[in-house]
Amino acid sequence: MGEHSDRDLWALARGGDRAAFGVLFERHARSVYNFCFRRTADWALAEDLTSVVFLQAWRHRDMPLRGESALPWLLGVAVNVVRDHHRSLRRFRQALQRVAPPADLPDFADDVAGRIDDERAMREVLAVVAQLPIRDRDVLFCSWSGLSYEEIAAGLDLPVGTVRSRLSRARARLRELAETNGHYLSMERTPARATVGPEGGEEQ
Amino acid sequence: VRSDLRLPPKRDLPPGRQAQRKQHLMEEIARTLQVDRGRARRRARPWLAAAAVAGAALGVAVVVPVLRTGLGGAQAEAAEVLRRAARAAEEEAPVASLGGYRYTRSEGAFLSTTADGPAYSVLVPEVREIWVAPDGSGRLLQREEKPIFLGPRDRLRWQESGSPPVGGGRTSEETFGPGGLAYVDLQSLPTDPEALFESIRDRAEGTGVGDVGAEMLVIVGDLLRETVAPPELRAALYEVAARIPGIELVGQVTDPAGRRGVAVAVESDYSGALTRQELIFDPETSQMLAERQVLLEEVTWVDVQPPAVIGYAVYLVAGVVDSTEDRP
Repeated sequence: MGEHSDRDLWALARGGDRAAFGVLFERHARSVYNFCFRRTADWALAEDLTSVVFLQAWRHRDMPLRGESALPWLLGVAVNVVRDHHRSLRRFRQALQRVAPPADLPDFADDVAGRIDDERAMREVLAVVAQLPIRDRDVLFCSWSGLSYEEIAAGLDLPVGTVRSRLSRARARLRELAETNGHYLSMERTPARATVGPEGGEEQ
Repeated sequence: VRSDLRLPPKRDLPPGRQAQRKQHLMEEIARTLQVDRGRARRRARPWLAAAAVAGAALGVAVVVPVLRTGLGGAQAEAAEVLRRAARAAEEEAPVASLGGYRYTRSEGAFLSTTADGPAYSVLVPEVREIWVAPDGSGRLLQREEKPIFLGPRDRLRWQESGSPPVGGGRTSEETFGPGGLAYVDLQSLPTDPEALFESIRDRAEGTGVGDVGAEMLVIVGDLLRETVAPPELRAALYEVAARIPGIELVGQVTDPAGRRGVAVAVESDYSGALTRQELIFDPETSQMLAERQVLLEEVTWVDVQPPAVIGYAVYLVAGVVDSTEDRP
């Protein structure tokens, strides 16, 4: 089933095909996991939230998929799940209680240390990002996940022009805030890909 | 001294965890499909009065609802009392214009379970304050209190696993811009009960949960709870609740804050254990007072004799204020 497109798999899942949904999980779990981490600065929490995003997506599998990839839609679900994550976790509490405890695999000391560093670094970013309006934050995090303008628009159910203007405003403001807060802004450059039309046509 | 602001690199899930999470997802999905099939069979269970055990452990007023087994007339009775609330809402003066923020303060508790080894649970009390403007902007404050063990076995298991932190004690505060807290556009909802029923049923069916009645009651509760529902919509919501398949009258109850009200409920096992989702309201004023979750069967992950309250939320203060710094 690995060669099927997201669109085909989604159609199968809508009909109740668990295996098809499992392939979508294989394909997108890592992206959803990293998205949830960046919103919470907590790797363990991100793992539970990843489960919740896919459980929630399964509940809402009747929704039509816009575009070719399921990722924008999944991140749209994730935006809502992480927004009030106390409530989301509570809603799926009993399901999460059935997650198997971690298998007895060796811990890699440098991996553990690296994850702790990540959490500290991410908390610093979040402290600055928290000063942006929430709708700008949503767009920014989706773009950091590598979605194009069109994909963000589909995932968040917004017009493309709105995504474009929010993103440009968010980036400018973030740079300003970082400097005011005494940071150098050295974000990895992962600007949203413009798949249609030229750059620069920012809407007001 | 300026430090670098950097995005940490992306990582894989820890070794083995992605496979475990996938396995879990597949099992949970299978469960929702099974629940769907098993629903008719399980619905016949009689329901007993809430156990004093849970109430005593919570340190809150114990609710002992009177309910007959063999719930023949329960749906009709539930419908009658819900319609009384609907009429009360209809008689309220319409809200002219709702500026400012709708404020709600609630106190409650939820169960937090640790499953690394023999599972145990604690009840975490929580205070929640929310300010939400009609455009969805607002502020959310959540404070967790000290966790409570419901039974001695759970405390023992916790001690045996080295007494790790079990949650509780966290405080979170967030502010939201327009759209941040608005999950539902209330303006788009019909106030005609028939149309509203269909719209809520479609949403409940769309979740794929299988137990449509229980999901419908959750949605009605969501809309009555922390929203700016005008009286005519509130009236329609009680009308909808009266028609939910499987809704039963629990009877007169005292909510955990000591207020008299009436409880209606839907039984469900879509979360894996058989529970009752209860909605407690005052039929004379149409105000929603509280929600409760009652565990109806014995499970391995919490030391409590069913039926037992494993979660509740009491809505204490509601009103409209000018800013997210004000309280009514």
